[in-house]
Amino acid sequence: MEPQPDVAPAGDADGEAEPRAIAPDVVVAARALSKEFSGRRAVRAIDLDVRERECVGILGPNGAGKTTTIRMITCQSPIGDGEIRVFGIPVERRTERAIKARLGIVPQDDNLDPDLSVLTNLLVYASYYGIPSRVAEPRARELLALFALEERAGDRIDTLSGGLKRRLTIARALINRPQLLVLDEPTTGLDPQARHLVWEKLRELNRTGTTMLLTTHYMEEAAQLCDRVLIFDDGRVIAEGSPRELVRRHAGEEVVEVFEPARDLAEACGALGCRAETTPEGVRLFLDDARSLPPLLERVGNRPFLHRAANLEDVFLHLTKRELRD
Amino acid sequence: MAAPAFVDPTRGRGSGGRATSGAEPLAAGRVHLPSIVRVMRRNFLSWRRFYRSSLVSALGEPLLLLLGLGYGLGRYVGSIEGLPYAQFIASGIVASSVMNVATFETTFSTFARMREQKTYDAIRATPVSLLEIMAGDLLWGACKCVITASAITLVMLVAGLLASPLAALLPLAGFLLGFPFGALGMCVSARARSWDSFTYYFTLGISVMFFFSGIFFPLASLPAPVRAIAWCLPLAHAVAITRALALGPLHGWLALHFAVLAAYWAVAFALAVRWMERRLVV
Repeated sequence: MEPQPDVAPAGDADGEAEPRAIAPDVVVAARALSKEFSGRRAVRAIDLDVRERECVGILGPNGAGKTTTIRMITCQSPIGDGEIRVFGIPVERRTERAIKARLGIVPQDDNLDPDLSVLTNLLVYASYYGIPSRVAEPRARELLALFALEERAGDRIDTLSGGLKRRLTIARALINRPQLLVLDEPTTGLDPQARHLVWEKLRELNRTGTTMLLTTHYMEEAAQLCDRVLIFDDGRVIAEGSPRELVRRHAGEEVVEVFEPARDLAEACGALGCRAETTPEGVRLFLDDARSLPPLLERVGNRPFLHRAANLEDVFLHLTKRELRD
Repeated sequence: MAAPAFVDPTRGRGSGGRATSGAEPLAAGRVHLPSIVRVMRRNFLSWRRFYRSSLVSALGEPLLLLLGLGYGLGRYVGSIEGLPYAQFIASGIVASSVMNVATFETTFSTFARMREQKTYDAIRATPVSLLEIMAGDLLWGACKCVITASAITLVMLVAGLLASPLAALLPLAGFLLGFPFGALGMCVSARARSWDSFTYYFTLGISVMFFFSGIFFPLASLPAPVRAIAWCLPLAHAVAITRALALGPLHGWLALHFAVLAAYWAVAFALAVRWMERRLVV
């Protein structure tokens, strides 16, 4: 079964299709966005919209073009081809300063200033935006409180754990009250507790009106945070929709994983109303309708199996055809 | 904002019309002075924590040179060009110390901020541009040169090694001399692959200049072709300037020395910005 692209190939290099219209509440609009690095096409004709108050996730394996895309959107990397508007302003060298002033950026690697204390990191960062210190100081304290970092205000950066650094990096990105918060893999490398705490804070920010664009390769993160997800693969958008929609469309409702070779099940699949994928251990069966579950389980018999709800990971693996990438 | 007009049909898609290197001419990004000051302030705040060790290294070496060579070796050398040896070399050491301070700031410190700490990336995410970050680093380096130049001038004053009232201008000269050397260091940082890359510059650039720029012996004593090469090096001109201010007299050649250094600064900084953009803005 061939994965069907969900999006019109509007931006194919020589596509004649009409460009997508831009909604009035759009914060980011990228059209036919492309970029090459020494001959390698990292991003290929991507269309992307982020609306006000939305949390949009870019999901994809390493090297899919996620970071390159958001670096172009945040004016940190020159556009290869195509166009981007952020806050309605076309991204160009002469508009960079105006756009960056309204953005909050959380990079993939923490780049907090190790020579400065926790509080001074925020204050110095505020100064880059030209925020006067009488405004910056209370705002920085407020952010430290929001991210439960008040106790550490005077500490050096290298005494902070990975989770605390991440929280401080997010706090720092909010110092200019950005209209758009862009996060590149906000929880990569964090332990589960720290990750859940970051998710909680991000959800809270989104709920209180912060528009967000984030990249991740954690399906759960996308499912937890994002209103809409774009699945990237090899520089293209291969699927787009709400996490729930994507799961329903590409993985169905239920999944039964059988951990023993089960050729007969794979073959009987059509009759049982499900789709099968062989795995190293056995077979994975996707059901669109829970009603086909009892007859299926009967066929599974006493082979070891796991029955669970379909999730984004199934979508992802299905669409990217479980190729192994670095 | 008319939605359908977003993609301009007259603009050739896929023609690769826009440069990917992002290396536009300097003039394209208008410079915002307050941003430069903010970068300097960041460097000052970080320096405040380490200023003791920073001062020790900036002052320790020139003082040791002065004591060891000026007074130690000086007893055997006697005088050069009618000057006590300590006086002769002290007036040159002001220049070499400024060179060292400016070079350290824009090589090791800049490289650490640019690569290890990713401070450049962090600042580039804000409205401050790369050019402004580099200008801030360069200016900050020049400010540190003022401290070094002032301290050495003070030592020379106490030791009675100054012979001209114009020595009061040495701190200002230190500030100005910081620019060409700082800009040269930035070129090296922009091209450096690793910390090892700096070894070449320090051994083949800084050390060579240190010994062949008229600090320890007059350039006139070199054979003509070597002397011609020495006069191409920026430190020779810097030494000529600090020596003239410390000991007098002023002469018309000073304008030429300043002009050579200004040219070094302008060319080196333009190259450094270009190379740094090529490296970071990808």
